[in-house]
Amino acid sequence: MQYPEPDWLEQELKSALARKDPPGGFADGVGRKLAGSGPKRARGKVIEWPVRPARRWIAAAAAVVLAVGGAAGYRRYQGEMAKRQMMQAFFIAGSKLNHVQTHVLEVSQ
Amino acid sequence: MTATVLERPEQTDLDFAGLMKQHQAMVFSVAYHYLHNRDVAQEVAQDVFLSLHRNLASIESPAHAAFWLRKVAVQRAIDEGRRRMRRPQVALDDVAEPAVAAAPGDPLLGETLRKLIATLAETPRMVMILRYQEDLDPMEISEMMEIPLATVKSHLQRSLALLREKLARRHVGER
Repeated sequence: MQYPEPDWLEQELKSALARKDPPGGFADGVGRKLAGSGPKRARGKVIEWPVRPARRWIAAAAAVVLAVGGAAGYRRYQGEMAKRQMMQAFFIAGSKLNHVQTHVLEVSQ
Repeated sequence: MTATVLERPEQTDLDFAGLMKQHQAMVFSVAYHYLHNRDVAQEVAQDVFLSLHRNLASIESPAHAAFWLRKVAVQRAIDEGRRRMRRPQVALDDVAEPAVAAAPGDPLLGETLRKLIATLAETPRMVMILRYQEDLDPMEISEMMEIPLATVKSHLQRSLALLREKLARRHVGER
């Protein structure tokens, strides 16, 4: 395809929009960004979340189930421990009472 | 440290430092003429080369690298322009009327033209930059920007007409 010869305005536009060199230190700036990009990403993300939204939801739901289940289990464990401690206290108190009763009977006889 | 990073060999024979040296003016100028801000253009251009470094393994040849860089520079500049304002950075009224009318070949005219181009909407602005900075023909611009050829031609005609009108008001180009 043939295009007409550029007129004065098009010549001026080519001159006005001529390529310009970037400011000094351009390559060093790229190098700094390259050097900093890897470790910065690794430091920023402690947990790598699954990429797909569906997987993200499944992971979140699993985390909630685990948290709720864990909390319920812990509460049950605490109840068991309290019951065991109370039984032990009753046992100790019972043996003490028995001992006192035996002692009182001996004295009264 | 910087030199080591730039010279690190990738899974390709392409030399990253060499590509950057060869194309930095092109990438920077696309961003600068589009955004009309040196610092922001430098940031955008550096990010383009950062992307090139990450994608170097998929680049097949120096010509592919040049095409890839130009395309990514165009996309990043447009994205940055949208992110920053969603409208031209320089309002048409802000382009100062020169006290003395600039003549063709005058450096003052070059600056006036750059400012006038900065007032164009995003697509015609980039079309003008690719046409007159990169010397691409309308077909190449159409492929680069993924817009119809007729649209590219229409943007070029309208933008040139608009510039002629604005310059005529400043009595530029009357011979």
